[in-house]
Amino acid sequence: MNSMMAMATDNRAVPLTDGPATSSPLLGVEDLGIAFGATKVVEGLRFSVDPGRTLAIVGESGSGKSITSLAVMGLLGSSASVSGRALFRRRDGEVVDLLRLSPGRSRALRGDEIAMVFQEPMTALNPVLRIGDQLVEVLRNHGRPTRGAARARALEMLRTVGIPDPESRLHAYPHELSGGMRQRVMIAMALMLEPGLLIADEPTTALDVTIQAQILLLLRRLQKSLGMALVFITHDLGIVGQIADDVAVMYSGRVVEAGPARAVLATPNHPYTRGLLGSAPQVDASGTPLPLKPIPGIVPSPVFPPAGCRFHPRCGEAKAGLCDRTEPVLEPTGSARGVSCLRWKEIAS
Amino acid sequence: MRRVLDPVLQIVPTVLVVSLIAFLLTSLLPGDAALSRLGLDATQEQLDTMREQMGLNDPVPVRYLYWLGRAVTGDLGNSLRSGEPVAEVLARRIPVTLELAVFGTGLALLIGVPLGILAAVRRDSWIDVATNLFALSGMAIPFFWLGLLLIMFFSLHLQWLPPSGYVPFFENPVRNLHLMALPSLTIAVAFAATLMRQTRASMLEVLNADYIRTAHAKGTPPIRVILHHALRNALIPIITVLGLQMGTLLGGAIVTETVFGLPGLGRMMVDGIYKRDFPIVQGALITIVVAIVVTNLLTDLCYRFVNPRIR
Amino acid sequence: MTRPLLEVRRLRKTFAPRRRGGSPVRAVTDVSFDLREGEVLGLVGESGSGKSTIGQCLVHLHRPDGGEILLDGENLATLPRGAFRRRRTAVQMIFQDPSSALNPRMSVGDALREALRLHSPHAGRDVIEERLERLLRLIGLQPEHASRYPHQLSGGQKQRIGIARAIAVEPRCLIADEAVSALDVSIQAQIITLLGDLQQSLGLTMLFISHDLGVVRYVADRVAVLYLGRLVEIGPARDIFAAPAHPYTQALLAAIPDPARPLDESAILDDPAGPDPRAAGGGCAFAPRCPHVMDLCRKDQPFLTQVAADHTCACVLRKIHPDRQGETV
Repeated sequence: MNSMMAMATDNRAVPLTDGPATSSPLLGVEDLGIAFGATKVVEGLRFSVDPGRTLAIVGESGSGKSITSLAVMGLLGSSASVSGRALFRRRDGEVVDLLRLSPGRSRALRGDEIAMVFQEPMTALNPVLRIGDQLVEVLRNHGRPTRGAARARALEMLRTVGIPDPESRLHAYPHELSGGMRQRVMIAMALMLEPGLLIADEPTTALDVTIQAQILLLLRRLQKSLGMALVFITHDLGIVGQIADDVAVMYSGRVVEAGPARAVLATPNHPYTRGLLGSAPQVDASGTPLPLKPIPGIVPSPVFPPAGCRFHPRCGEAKAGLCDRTEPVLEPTGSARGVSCLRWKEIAS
Repeated sequence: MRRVLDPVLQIVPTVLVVSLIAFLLTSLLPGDAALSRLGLDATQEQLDTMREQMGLNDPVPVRYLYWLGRAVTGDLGNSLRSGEPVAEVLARRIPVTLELAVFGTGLALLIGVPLGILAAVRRDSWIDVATNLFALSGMAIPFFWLGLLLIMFFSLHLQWLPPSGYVPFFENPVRNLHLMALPSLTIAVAFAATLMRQTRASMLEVLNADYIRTAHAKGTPPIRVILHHALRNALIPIITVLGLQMGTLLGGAIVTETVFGLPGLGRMMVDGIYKRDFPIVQGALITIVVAIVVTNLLTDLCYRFVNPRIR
Repeated sequence: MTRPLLEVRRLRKTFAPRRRGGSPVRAVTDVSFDLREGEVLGLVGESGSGKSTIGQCLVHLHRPDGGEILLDGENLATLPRGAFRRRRTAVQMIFQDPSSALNPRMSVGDALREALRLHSPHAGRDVIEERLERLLRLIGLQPEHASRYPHQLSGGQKQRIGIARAIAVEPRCLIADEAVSALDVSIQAQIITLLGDLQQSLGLTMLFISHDLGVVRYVADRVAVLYLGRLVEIGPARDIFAAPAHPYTQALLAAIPDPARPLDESAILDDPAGPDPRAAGGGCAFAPRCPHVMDLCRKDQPFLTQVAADHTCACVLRKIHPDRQGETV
């Protein structure tokens, strides 16, 4: 076990956290590969997250970020072949590889030690079951709570996520709640057993900006009070700045840039990160909007990925003969950061 | 309360229209009721008296209102053949058909829904292919042929079950179940096939829903995900099909009762038609239609119960 | 000043209650604004603010219960359906979900040809083909995209087609209803830039409906803010962003995600219940959520009051001028 944990730390090409170098991270994903038949949708993926910290995984639709979270949860169907390791430190200290767990052990972790919140609060709750029953089910899946204890816990969680009049909400059906309220219920459900790791897959994308801000605030508060690790998946760098400690930018199934969120947002090294930043609405100190600089084109299909650097067809900095031939690897750029670009030094200077 | 009362009140006009159709169908059919009652050697005088007595000389609307007025009080007239009140004949016949329908529906549910779930969960496996084959043949085989096949196999070949006859349940339950087994299976097969296909289709759709992923993410045991989360939602269209198929089921009952010699509503109607016994035909027809309307009402109420979104 | 292209006057729309015994939903209450020739007006608010209902009233997807919609002086609100159909190319809509707004069995070229023919029924084949090619280039696609079907396109490309179809008939004004909300930020930036370019080159007049002030800032010349079916603030975009007068506008601004700015906890409307038409009673609809709420707010409905040139706001904090009630903005 010790050697496993040692490997988990040593193997990180880029230490993603700038915190003190303690033992192993709560979740360390190494060389993760996901393929459907011959189509590789994720390759060589590497990230880690510590308790009490938030890692944002950022990328456009089709970058492989959601499929990565499903792989870690053990929710990918049998049609996917998964390689690599996802080492998770359990409450009792045991380190398990989430990708190699039996279905039964994987299920025992889900909802208990690892939980997930999804994008569409409108469809993620079962429409024919009462809110209270859906909350209590988490406890039933992982133990034998008494009716009273289960109900009390459900009430407590509804209160924790700030749902007004929780007693009557227990008996409500999902369609009787607003979108923001439903997402709060989803969060309450995910946190019923105080998991060590919460994966939130675009939890605010379907919501109004005002509700989005509320949910972000709620997640941040809960994370601090429960000391859990949060993996926050989003396509919006604007949100990263508001919630994340660390960030991993994904493009076409790989991490192209990673590091502390503030540093990456302030001085992005990868042209793709710059493109995402240029796409996010921003204002300068005086409040005037900075002009949008969108990235041209779209994410390539994983069936026919471009040769060389996968971003080169959309990259303004691409150099013919180099970027379309050689595939870059994630290399350290100092102070806990890494970038996967052949020309990042030239671009920076 | 209005939730329940409203649909109940809505069936009144339906039943009225149906009663009119039933009345018109039987009174406009070719054939003379007075003649069929008196026999071919009756004199013209006798016939005229009988027509007058039976009210056959009144205009059709008058006859309908007259008939309806009595029908509402439970008087559906008397059989032209035996003179027995139609209501009494019905009281004897309804339990037979009811038993057949309940057993048939129960069997169909027991066969169709689990097979449909299995086919959806093991999609594209040999189970899926086999059940689909069963469904296709089940829907294609006519009732009478299936009934004869079952009689040949189970009664003549294996000699397990009697081929025909009827004993009321409360007289001899074991014998009754023996006699009802084959007829019930006959009408259940096609119904089960339809239910299976609907169950498979709606389960497949539901299993792809986001909330199923949520259920898995909560660590819910797979069996519970299927039966509690998926089936609860898939039931909504299944119940609709269940209601819509009632007509087919009762139609099947008519044929099946004839094949197996069961003294039910279907046989009553068929015999009535052969013997030009119009009050009997009207009574059976109205009863069957009311049964279908009431089933649809029950379906509707069930639907509201299963789907909280339309309450 | 010349007459505005579109004048909305005291528009009202109430929906029947969803369930028996429920109270009717007042989606839009006495909303008045102008859409001036060549400008982009941002219409902003949360779900349930009535912003989409207004857009749908403008293209006759809903019939308003009261008020006027004057296009070049003609009242669209009372126009019979047939008469409206003849004028329907005048107002065009770009929808939120480009996937469901396109016919999956119609190629991009055919969908656009149909729109082009609607505009000029007597144009020859070559003219249509030439216009089709020009249209595709205008929205940043290539002529070969004409033979594609919607499922072969990305979300961003589909939205470009949605825009092309709307501008193909050269409408008097465009309504973009959450046209970029369903898109990734990177694609959203592309579409916003495209809309900006089109607006510049074609001089489009547009009502840009969105819940995201961060996006509206990039396209709108003026901004109108709705809360629970009422207009609470309207003014030049520069003013609204620099000095938002209404507390709700301030909250909307604070909620914009900005990579360089951490979440301002104090400015977030942290009430999970959200907008509730019943909670307001007779007073200001925003009072139950307002950080600056006073007793007065719960009693009286505030009027739109001028706070700067061309800039009005309905908030007690901005003083009440009853004599300005109903004045158009």
